[in-house]
Amino acid sequence: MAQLSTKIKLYCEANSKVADFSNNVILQDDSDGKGAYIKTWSVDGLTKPTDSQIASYETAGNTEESNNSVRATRKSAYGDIGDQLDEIYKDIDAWKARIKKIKDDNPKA
Amino acid sequence: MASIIRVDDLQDSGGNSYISSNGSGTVTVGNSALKNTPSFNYSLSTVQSIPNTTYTKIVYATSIWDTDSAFSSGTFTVPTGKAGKYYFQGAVEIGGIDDAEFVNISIYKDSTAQEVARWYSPSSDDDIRAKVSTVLDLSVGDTVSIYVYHNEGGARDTKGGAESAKFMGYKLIGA
Repeated sequence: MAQLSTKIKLYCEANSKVADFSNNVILQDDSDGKGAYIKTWSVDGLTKPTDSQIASYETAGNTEESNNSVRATRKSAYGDIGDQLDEIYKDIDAWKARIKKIKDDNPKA
Repeated sequence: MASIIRVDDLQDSGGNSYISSNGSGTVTVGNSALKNTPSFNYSLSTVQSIPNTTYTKIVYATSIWDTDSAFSSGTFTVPTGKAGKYYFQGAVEIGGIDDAEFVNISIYKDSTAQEVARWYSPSSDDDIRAKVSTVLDLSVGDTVSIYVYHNEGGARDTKGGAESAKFMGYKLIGA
């Protein structure tokens, strides 16, 4: 099941807004078995989503989270940006081949 | 010239003992106003999943001590007759936090954060031990709990045991 934050992020993006989870959207989970909920909502120009609106982003949310996992795996495999610049300076084609293999080995949904 | 007063029981004018000794050096404090109680210390004994960017209550459940049995399901509730100022400290460890991402740890009074500490990850996929402390002026029935938050992207599990995931507090004397 996709996280509430992921579905809220997609809802805001679909309405050309940005969810800042330290500022205009505060989510909370009281660990009482009821799950996460929207504690405060102050996204300028966008109403707080209904439960059904949030649920409608379930599939897209799962895809987004799957891709986030792929992005994290790729980022780790790319390595330090300074080391990559050194690779590019020494042999840019070898660097491009290595990056392509990482992408091919870790495809997005 | 130094003097010595030997007495085993200090009482007020009404005959109420507030400090006594058994004569062998074991002292008993007889009045709650002189004790740092209620006092509790709990650790986190199970792994708890923390969703991304969501303030999540930590359910510390293993009692190390709890003088007034005022702690339940991760929440301390001020008992009757125990209003006053309290010191609290909370700690938690969360794994897999990447460079420049952070963990917030908050002390909540009822449903409102009173103190928030932010701990940034110094490197990729690091375990962050976050800690927060504060003093609160509380009334009978007020509740205090610990919430954590991270922005790693996906859900992350708490880690560690009593050495890195504890919630403790005690009433201050004379405050």
